[in-house]
Amino acid sequence: MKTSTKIWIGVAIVAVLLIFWIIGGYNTFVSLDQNINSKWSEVENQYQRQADLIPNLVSIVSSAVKVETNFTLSVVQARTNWQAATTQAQKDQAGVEMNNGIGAFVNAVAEAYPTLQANKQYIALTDELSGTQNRITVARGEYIKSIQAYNTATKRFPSNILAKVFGFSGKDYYKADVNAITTPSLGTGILP
Amino acid sequence: MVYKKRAIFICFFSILTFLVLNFSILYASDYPTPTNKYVNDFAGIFSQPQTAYLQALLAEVEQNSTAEIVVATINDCTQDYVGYAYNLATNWKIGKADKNNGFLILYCVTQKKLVAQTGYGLEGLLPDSKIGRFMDEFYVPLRDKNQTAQGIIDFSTQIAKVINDNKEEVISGQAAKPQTDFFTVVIIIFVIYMLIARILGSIYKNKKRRDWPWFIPIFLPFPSSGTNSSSGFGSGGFSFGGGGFGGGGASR
Repeated sequence: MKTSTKIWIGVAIVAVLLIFWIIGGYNTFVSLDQNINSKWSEVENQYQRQADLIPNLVSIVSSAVKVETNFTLSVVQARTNWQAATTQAQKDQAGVEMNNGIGAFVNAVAEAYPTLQANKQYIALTDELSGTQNRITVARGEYIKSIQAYNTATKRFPSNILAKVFGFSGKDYYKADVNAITTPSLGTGILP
Repeated sequence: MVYKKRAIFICFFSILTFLVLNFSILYASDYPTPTNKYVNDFAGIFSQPQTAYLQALLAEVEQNSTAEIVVATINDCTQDYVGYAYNLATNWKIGKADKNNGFLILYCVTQKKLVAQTGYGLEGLLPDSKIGRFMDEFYVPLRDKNQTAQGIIDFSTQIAKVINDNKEEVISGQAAKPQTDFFTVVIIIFVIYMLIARILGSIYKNKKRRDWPWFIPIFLPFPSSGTNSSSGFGSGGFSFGGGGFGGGGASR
């Protein structure tokens, strides 16, 4: 075999490997990106599930004990904010606030109306709520992990070259403060 | 020539070792390695007959329904005991991979908490409120009488009963998630190596330097997209089916 033929074969092999690498790399970025979306939709599902539980919570609490409307106001408001949120960052912020609002509400109710602790419906609902809160934590954790995986791929050598070429830039994730909300102000527990 | 061959050999295996290590790091963990498929009493709160009873009960459940219920006791689950329970359940991969029908019952001694974690596939059968109710009915009264171990057993029996009573539903399970096995990945990498070496080797058949193509560097520049790609590889001692958890459950 002539030396020039050898060189051409070498070049062809390198070219084929490079093409495979580019295709594989591009597809990896696409699936990492898709993964982020699917992880986010799970977060949204769980927030939605939580939002759906709020009317039950309010109705059970207000049918069992006499509560002032401003007692339930903040938790209902948190739900409305969640429903009104449009962007991902807004949704997550509103979701976290709703999450914290429910926690604060449940604590406040437990303190102000100890008799509710014996109400089976109420206990069942709080179990569902805390289960959902935990699911949200899990789903958000998975979502953040998926973004980290994507960002790592865009920064790591040599995949960062491909990321630049195809325009896959790093993504920011919104980190809402989980303990940002304050306890809702308690009424006297007597309806006006 | 001998030196060259040795160099090639070392080069090839160091690349392979690197890849293997790269994967293994994903499975390192701070959680204890399970020693038994059904009862992992790390805190030592069960008596011999109690352990034997639980093992028989949970083995029967798995035989009947394929669901994997695990009872574990841990001395210190940290303050976030629910998070700990979730991490333990996902770490051990309790439940069948295609059905996600694992169920973890964890007692944290320091925190004095009983936590249950439900695999995805059992969430319909055992919603959080039901688990909480079972805890209130079967565990809490005994716990308050200082019979925690018996309370956990009674609660576990109740969960086992629900799964046994609905075994058809559990067996039919959820849709299987596609999973890449760790060994498949290694084998594929190995096969690609062999193929390329073979092809290049045959091209240069007439030449004496038949072995140089081993040097072609194939590297994995992209992180593997599935972190849960292996079922029961890294945990070392004992492995479960590879089931997933979403964080559902209850605690008392």
